[in-house]
Amino acid sequence: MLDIIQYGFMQRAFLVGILLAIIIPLIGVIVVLKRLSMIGDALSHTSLAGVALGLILGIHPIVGAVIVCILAAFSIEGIRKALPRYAEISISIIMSVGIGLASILSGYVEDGAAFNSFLFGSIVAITDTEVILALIVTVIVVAAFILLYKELMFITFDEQGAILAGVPVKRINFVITLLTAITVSVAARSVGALIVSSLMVIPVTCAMQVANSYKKTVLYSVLFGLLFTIVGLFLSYYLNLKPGGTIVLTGVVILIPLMIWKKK
Amino acid sequence: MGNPIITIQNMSFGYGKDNVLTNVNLTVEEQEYVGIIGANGAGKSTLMKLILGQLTPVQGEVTVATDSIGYVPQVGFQAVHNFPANVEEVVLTGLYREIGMFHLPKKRHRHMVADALELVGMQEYRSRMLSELSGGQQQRVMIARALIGQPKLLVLDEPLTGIDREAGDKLYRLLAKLNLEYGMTLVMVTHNMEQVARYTNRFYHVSNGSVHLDPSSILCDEVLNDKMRISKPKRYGTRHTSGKTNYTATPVEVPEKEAPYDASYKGTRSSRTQPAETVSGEPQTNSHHESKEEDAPC
Repeated sequence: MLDIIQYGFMQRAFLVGILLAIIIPLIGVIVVLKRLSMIGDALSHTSLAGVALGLILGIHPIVGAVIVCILAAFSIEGIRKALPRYAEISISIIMSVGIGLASILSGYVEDGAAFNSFLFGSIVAITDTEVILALIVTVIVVAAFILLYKELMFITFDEQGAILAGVPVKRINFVITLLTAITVSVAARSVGALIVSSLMVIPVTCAMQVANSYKKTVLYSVLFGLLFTIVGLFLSYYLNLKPGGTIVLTGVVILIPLMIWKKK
Repeated sequence: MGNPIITIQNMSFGYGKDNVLTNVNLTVEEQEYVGIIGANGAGKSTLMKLILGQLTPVQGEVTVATDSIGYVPQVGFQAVHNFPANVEEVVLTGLYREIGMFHLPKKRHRHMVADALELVGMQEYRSRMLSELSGGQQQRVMIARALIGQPKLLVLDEPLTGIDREAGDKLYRLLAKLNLEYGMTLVMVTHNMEQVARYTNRFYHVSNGSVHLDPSSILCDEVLNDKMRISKPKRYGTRHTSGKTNYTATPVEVPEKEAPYDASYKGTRSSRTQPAETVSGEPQTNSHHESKEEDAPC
């Protein structure tokens, strides 16, 4: 049964999968509660433009994705501040720009297979360098989340109240925007740019069905993320399915009965 | 009369070319309970945001003589409805300054939460999710959150939004108690004329970009002094030398009857000079229809 663990590529897949299953839902808690669930979608689509740019310029595609994602994330935040009543517009604008750019730039990419691997991810083709990168990002995101735990809760609950209470909201939003962009870029390589936003939203939505506090919502989001990833990887291996899509669909299969149960 | 805690002088504000407020002058003194009323879109919330420092005036000055400010947002604001936090977690955010950045709440902070919830009569709901509570209960939680930091000034934005009349009456009595017993300065933005006239010391109208003190709400000096005397404040928390804070919380009890509001009354609001009746130790405010000319000493 556990013969899949014997393979080095599957060991890396599990390790990176587990790391991402911890940090993507952590970021997800913030974006979902800020009512910006689509931000993951916008950033991941925009990251494809960075991937294409990286492949064209001959730099590592993840580095290209990180740079473009950071620019996109701050543009979203900038438009959101300029149009506070229409926060979702900022996401749509940046997503359109990202898809447009990715579409045009992909035409100039010679290694089409490398570009396509970022669309749906290639968690089983992860290199050691990418494992180390995922590990570093995980340590930073988890540390930021623990240190800023109550500040993040305050900001997501009542941003104006947080400002009034002296929470350094601008600085914390800056840090989180940066971490969101980096997380999305790194995750795009593993689970796929088109799937990463689902991993941000579905574990958090599942957690919100069963948790009875903010603390438990955060904790359960990570646990659901881990559950989907581990089960999804096993299923994808034995049923010969794409890992990224299997992980997300595993989440949906668990979410639906939870939502029905909650409604009762 | 106390010292001014909010002073607005010749202040104007607008979004782009559109002037929302023009040449506003307003003063709120310590221990006052001031209402700001007006129709939807009149500029009440903008005025509140200027007081809270969330907006900067285009012209003139807004001076708030304290940074000890509690803020109760509209309970209708979307985050409250579905935010996955329990009551204790929400109230704890009110202690942010005391707990400090990168620190976790300690046992005494949790005791303070319990006492603040007891003060608003919500101690039994401590572990309940905020989204499971009614509008009135959510608003009480938000008030507990604002009170736990023992603010000198409490600003409330439309506290009755989405709340039924009975729950609203309880809330107003709680606010009156905070003002009369604890000397807390209250500024309440609302469009509920009836409750404003019943409970506040005076109130301002916001309309067509200007802010006017309602003449019927002006108390003469003698009346005001008398009122201040009966409302000698006490702290709702007593700070001990150890630095720990213990609340002397008394749950809000609702009187059986409340005198109806007389909307026809336009005279000087002298009835607030009457010593407040108490029901189970709780002071009641007086509606100004109770005594008109006969009670007016000025």
